[in-house]
Amino acid sequence: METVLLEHFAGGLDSFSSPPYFEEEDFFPEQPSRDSLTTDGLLEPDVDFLSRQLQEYYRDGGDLEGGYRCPPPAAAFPPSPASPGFAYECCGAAGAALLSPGGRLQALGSAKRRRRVRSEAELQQLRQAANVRERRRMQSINDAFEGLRSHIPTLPYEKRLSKVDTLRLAIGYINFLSELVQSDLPLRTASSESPSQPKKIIICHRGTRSPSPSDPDYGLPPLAGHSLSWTDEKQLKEQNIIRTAKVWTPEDPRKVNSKPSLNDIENEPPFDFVA
Amino acid sequence: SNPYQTNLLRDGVRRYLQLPADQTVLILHAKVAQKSYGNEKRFFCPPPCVYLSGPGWKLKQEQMKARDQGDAGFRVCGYMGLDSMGSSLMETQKLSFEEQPDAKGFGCAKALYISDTDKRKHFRLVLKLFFSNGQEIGTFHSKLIKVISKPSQKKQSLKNTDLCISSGSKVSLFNRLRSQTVSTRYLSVEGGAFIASARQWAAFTLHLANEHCTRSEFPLREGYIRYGSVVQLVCTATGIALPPLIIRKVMKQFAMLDVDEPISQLHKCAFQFQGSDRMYLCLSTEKVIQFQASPCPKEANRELLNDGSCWTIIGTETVEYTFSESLASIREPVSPVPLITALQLTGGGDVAMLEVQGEYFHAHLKVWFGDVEAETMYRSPKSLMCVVPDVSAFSSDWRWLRYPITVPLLLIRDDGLIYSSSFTFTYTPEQSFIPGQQVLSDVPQDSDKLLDSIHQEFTRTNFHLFMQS
Repeated sequence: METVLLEHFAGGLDSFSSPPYFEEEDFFPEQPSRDSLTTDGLLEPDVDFLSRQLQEYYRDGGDLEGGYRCPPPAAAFPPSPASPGFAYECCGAAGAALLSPGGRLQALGSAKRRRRVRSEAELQQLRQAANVRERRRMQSINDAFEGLRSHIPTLPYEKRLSKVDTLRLAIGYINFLSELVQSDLPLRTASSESPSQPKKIIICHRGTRSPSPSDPDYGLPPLAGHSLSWTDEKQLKEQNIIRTAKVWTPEDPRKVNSKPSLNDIENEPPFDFVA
Repeated sequence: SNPYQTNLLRDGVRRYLQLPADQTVLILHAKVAQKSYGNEKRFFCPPPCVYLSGPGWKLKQEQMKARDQGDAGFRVCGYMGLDSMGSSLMETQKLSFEEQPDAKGFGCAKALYISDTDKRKHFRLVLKLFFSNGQEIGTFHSKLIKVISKPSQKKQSLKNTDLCISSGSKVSLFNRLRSQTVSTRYLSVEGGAFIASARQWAAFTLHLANEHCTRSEFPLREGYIRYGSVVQLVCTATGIALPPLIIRKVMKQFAMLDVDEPISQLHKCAFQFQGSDRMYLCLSTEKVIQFQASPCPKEANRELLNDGSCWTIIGTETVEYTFSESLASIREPVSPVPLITALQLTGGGDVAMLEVQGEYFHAHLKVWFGDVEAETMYRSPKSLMCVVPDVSAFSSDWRWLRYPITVPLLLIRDDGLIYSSSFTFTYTPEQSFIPGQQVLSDVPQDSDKLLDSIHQEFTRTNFHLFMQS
């Protein structure tokens, strides 16, 4: 149980780490596999995005010498996880972006060449830009994993499969499929489940133990698990009562006998319920 | 609790499951109640009634007898009233239970009413049950009852379906002369025949019938019932039905043949036998018979009825509380008795969770799957969450069995009081990991074997892939 919770939480962190502005989808055209760290420059949308960020920063009243509106760089972005080239790339990227807001930032353009003269605020900007790019990179990787997950036959886990498990399972599944193809079996069963049926909930039987001859089902294909379902017996019974109802037909007094048992009430005046 | 106690409880639950000594309290009542203005007392009609059933009542009485409580000590008596909010002037009515041939106790509250000083739009009935020695059994609530001032005269709109009657819901039918309570007779079933009882009423499932289907085979149709529809009335207790009937609006003792608006609570209606020559469902004192209406020469759209063929229709509700004291000698009241209304499964893989939805839940309840206690978390009075036990928890053999296993769902209170439910839970063996690839019989044996062997190989060699790291 505990591991379940932990895993779940870890998965949740991914989503928490995305700041709100990441929800503005239009900044990120659908290019999930793009990895900007390995390319030699920023793509157009990145520049636009960063310059927009900067413009907002200035408009909000922060200036280059101003207080620490952002957290200190070290906290905002932990010690660079990438190669030394990473830092360089970041600076270059941010530098390019800094050009856009206007001539006011013109001088910063040369920062690429004379790195030592960068002000603290400027470094902060660069750091922020790098953070944005890193988040975006993670997002694209996560998206790609999501795509992969949707293509492999995972069990109906409540929690999301971790990345490494997704890869392992994908490899296993590809192997499995190639086996299927090689054995030339008709692929008859893949879509036998109708979409209207509720998703089957299965508890798997885990155990690394191999079948032993003392097992009652030795030699049979192993059970993967048990699917779960429930029934309201009362509802079932009520439906059965309706389906199997016996029909009772009241007698027609005119036909059975002539005794006018209706007379008692036939001559009563009409009654009114809401009188 | 220690393992010894746990095993003791489990053994007790096993014994219970072999011979459930349940005590059941069934409350039947109408869905709406007409308000009484000023000094008038418009008694609820049909009168709310209570059935006590199940072998547990007798067992409990024997236990009390054995404890030297005297013969009179074990009689059950009850009080029924309204759940007036904090009002101590609440008028309750004593119920005495008469034993019926089927060993059920039956009581009904004939003189309950709601005054116009009570401004609520909905209320519940409250039933308190005691043994005649004063020991409290518990408090039981009805479902919500809607307060109306009088039957709606307006054409019912399907936009406001509050008062409409839907196909498949339960109704009561009664007939009353000149609004006299004493003359009221209820459609009921006794000894395999429909009767018009002055004493007891039955709830009937009212269905839209499919006009083209054969008798005693009713495909269920949904929707609100309208005048002019062909309907089927099936007794909920006995399963006896009347032939297909066309429900007609009644106006001033005429059956209106051309009205097709939705029927509404407390409307007066008539039931014409489908395909008959103006024959209607009618009562003649206690008997239920057919009555031929007279045609109206001037107006082809109406037929003249008699008093006995005009029925008042009203929706009804039932609520059933079940408990068993067999595991504990309980001094505390059994209420609140939890009611399960629905279940919701989530998860799968390692762990599946079951949400139990209903009413009157509290933190002292545990969900049991047969004789296996599930880890249970209380979320709210309407929701409990539990972990579905692995099938091997029932018996280590069950993991190997190749047929489905069904266990009843129970709720058990801290002190051993068992609340059974109408729900069962089923474990069905699955052979394949990939949904949709399991057990297909229409495929030649050979290829099945081959596929199975591949699956077997795949799962055996790749089992670790399905274990999350």
